[in-house]
Amino acid sequence: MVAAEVSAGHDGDAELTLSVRFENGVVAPVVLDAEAGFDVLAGCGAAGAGDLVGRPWRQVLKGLYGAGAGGGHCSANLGERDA
Amino acid sequence: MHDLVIRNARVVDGTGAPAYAGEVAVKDGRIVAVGPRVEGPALAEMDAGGKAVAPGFIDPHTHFDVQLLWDGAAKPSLEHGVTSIIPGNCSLSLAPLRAADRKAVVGMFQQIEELPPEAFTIAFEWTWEDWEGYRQALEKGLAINVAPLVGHSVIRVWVMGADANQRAARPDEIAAMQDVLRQCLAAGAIGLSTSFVDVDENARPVPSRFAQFAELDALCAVLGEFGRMLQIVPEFYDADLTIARIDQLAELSLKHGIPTTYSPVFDNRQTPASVDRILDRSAEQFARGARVWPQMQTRPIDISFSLLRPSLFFARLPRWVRVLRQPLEARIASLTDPETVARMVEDAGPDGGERLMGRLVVRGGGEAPAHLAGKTLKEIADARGQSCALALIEVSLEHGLDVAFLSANGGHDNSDRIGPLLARPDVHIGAGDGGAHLASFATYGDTGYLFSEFVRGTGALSLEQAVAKITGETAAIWGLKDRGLLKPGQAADIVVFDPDRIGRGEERPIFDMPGDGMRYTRDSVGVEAVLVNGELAWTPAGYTDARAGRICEMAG
Repeated sequence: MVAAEVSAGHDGDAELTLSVRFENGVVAPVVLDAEAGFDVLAGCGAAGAGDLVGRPWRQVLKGLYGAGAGGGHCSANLGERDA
Repeated sequence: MHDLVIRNARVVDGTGAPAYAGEVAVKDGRIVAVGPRVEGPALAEMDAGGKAVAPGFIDPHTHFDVQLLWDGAAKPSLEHGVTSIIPGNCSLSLAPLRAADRKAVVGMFQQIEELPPEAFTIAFEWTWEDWEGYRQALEKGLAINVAPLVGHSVIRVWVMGADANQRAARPDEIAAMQDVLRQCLAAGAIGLSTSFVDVDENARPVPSRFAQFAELDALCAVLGEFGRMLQIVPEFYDADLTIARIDQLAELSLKHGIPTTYSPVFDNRQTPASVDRILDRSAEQFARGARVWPQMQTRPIDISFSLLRPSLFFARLPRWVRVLRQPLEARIASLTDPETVARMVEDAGPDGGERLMGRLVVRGGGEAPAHLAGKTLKEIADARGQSCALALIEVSLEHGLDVAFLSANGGHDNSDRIGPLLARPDVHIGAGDGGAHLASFATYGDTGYLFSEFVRGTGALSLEQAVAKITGETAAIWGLKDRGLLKPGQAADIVVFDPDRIGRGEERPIFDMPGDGMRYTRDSVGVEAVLVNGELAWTPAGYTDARAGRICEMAG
């Protein structure tokens, strides 16, 4: 992960936008809502958003899905809106 | 004899053509003459004082379904110059709905609209189950025109009952949904809405999300019989998934000959490439002949939060994250522990949080005392002789943590960038969400903001372009019959406004929902008169008794 920033969601909630750099150099955003964002912080043992920068993407998956996570598409449980 | 002639007008006719000094004549609810000079006597005359006279604005994305049953003006939309609204978005409508299924659908509405429970128990009487019955209930007392969508989720509930949010539909159930949709469209629904994102009050996906593509394809075949719109909420948090949905919509549009639209589409500085990629994909599909309209809102997105539940607003502050993630009781204990609070203040920066939090505004409507509402945290902190971080904690604690703070312009806020996007001919201005998010933020006044920010402000759109975007073009995109233009034969939906003043008022809480429920609203600014089907519905003196609103008819 090359950046982790607080962003504004459609519903007026703060969200966490992670920028992930892939092996081919492409940087793509992944937007996490509050629940997923806090789960990632806790699951990665990150103190705050800035602490996520430099960590591998696999740790985000671990934060979301637990220690057994190792890949797959993450969007299925992300970004659901409550309004 | 005309019923009314509006004289001394700056006619902006909704086509995008240059405005001109002229007059507009109305008879029997329709425009009968428009031009530099209208001949013939009139029962009444209105002097527009040189102000703009335009077609009434059309709001294509609202959730006024429930409110319309006790408030036929969809307040405050009408006073902002909006004369036609499209409710029933995002897969939810109030029909067709059997009495036994009301509870489930009410839960979805409460989640989407944040209406108080009383809105469903004391404000109106459920008299319908099918669409025709709903239409009859809706038509009583309308002051604004309504062009309702039918929701995919409720069609699923109607056909599948409790299984609607459990599984894919069988072929016989899909056929039954087609029949129901056909009946709804024949009885006045103007299209179908669906959602790939929304959840119910239990955080379960809404029923439309359990549909496989074959189901959506079958329903679009019915839309094709009528040439009607499919509205969707795509996975807007992910540009790639949104683009995939655009491609899917394009195939449905081409196959069935229907228009489609998706929302929300908004810009954030954290994802700067996304909106361009999304709009460019729509443009590519338009070039293929598909109709895939992105709906973009005009207003910026504000972040709001309280300490009642953890907000990622504090994601950059490790000690705040740790404290706010705790259960409520433990959270309050930490926030009252001097040592913990001292660390949190330290975490907020050497300026005590002034840079990060100083511009937060205390919102009214919660437990916060009225004298704090509208003040910045910096002002409050200075008055208390505290740092901003400490003031935020202590003010929250003093009111049971139920103090809402607003971080204005958190996203979709770069007007120099948003203006040209709104001006694109392949962008549909909408996605306002009127009638939803009631307790979170005001979803009204986006039309006024279009003029104040992007016509008078950045100049991204001319007055005529802006009017056309939210009148004639909107009516054409959706296929609304006789709406959106000032020309003979059209419905006399007319707004008179001052182009030099039109805007939106400050956000403020009001308690006008059933059971004294709260919502945030904005007053109109610079709107001087609103006529619906030829009758004066609103002036700055207030709402009239006119109830001239209609269910909109469709062209073709």
